[in-house]
Amino acid sequence: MIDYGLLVSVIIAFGVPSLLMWWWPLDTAPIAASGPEPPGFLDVAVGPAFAGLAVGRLVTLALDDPNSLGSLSDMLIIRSGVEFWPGVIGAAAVVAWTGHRAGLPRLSRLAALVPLAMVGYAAYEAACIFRDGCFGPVSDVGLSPSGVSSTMFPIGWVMAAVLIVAAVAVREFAARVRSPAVVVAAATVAVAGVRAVGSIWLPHVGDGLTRQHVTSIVVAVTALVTLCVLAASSRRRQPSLQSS
Amino acid sequence: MNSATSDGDAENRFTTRRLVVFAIVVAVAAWAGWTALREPDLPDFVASGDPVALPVDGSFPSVGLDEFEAILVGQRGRPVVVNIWASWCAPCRTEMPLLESAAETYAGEAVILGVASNDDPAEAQDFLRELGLSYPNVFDTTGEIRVALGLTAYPTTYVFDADGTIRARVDGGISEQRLAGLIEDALG
Repeated sequence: MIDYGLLVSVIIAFGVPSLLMWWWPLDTAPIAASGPEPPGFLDVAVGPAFAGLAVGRLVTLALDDPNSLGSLSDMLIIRSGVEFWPGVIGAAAVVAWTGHRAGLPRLSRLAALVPLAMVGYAAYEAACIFRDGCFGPVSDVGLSPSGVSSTMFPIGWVMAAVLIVAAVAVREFAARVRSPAVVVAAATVAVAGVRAVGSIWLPHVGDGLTRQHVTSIVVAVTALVTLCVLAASSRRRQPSLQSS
Repeated sequence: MNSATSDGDAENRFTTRRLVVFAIVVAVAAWAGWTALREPDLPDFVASGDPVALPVDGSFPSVGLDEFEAILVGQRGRPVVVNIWASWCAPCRTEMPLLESAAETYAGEAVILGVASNDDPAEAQDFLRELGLSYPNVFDTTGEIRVALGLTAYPTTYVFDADGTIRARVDGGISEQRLAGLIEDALG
């Protein structure tokens, strides 16, 4: 059974950053094109996205349904769940590895891609209307997902709007700082923060936090600590460079 | 001069190819989006008959359509989530822990009822034992239940109002957001 909602969401998630490249061209140095044409978003994002999808799906199966780990057909049913952060780590590792193989500093290709990837994720969230419907807290203003009589404030759209603002901020930030690690850490704080806060208003079964919510909080805190450490160490390095 | 012309031709071909690919992608996205936004048809199904209690814990009775309807009539007054599954269906297995969690969370307020259909009874029984589910499940012996509910995909989840009318149908795996949203809405 084809999940049309998921299909259109994925097309939008890849299509929007690809179009955005007219205005936000990739910094060709860190992307290091192998051919005469500058690379498009799809050229550098599709491979890592598939790797991330595979990692995220494997982790979901390992956590929820370990008996299916050996079954290719079960693995391919993406609709049954893909763990977000393991998927992101898998995709980021592939980008970093391909960049390193091209002789670039370890995280520079990843840092160049991050703002566009954030826009892609924002587009995916905004496409919630094609998937399960845009759920959120019951409100006078909002949408009524299929089968629900009350209107719900579409949290996915708010998350998308905040992510786009964050992507613009990260892009501006990347132009000012030299360290790609700082750019990647800042982007991770932004995305994990948006997911952690957005999850508060998403309907869930039971009183506890969902696994997605907990992992987003853990990732946000870890990325924030990393960002602070990187910023502090780069500040310490700058005076010593000036004095020498 | 010739080189400049051939470069220009190559550039035009490249742009045309890009435009064609873009148009195809937009067309596919529009078609998929339109299909995704279509509301699923709700079956014209209203349970009737004398009320019957839910199957007792640990049992997995084989039932026909009449007995299934009688079970639904017995639950009038609270929402019922009916989940049609089969042991050979991977997404069914994935969503069952979520349904178990919902059964525990909404115990007394709403009912989760599993219906194994188009399956081998022994394999379905093993499947339930393996997953250790506590919410009631029945086996659709004749296949009449899935026909009456207009089943087109596995799994499919139906949400019945407290008055017995179907308010929602979810073809394929159900997400936690959607399940919680539907139950909360049905509870009012």
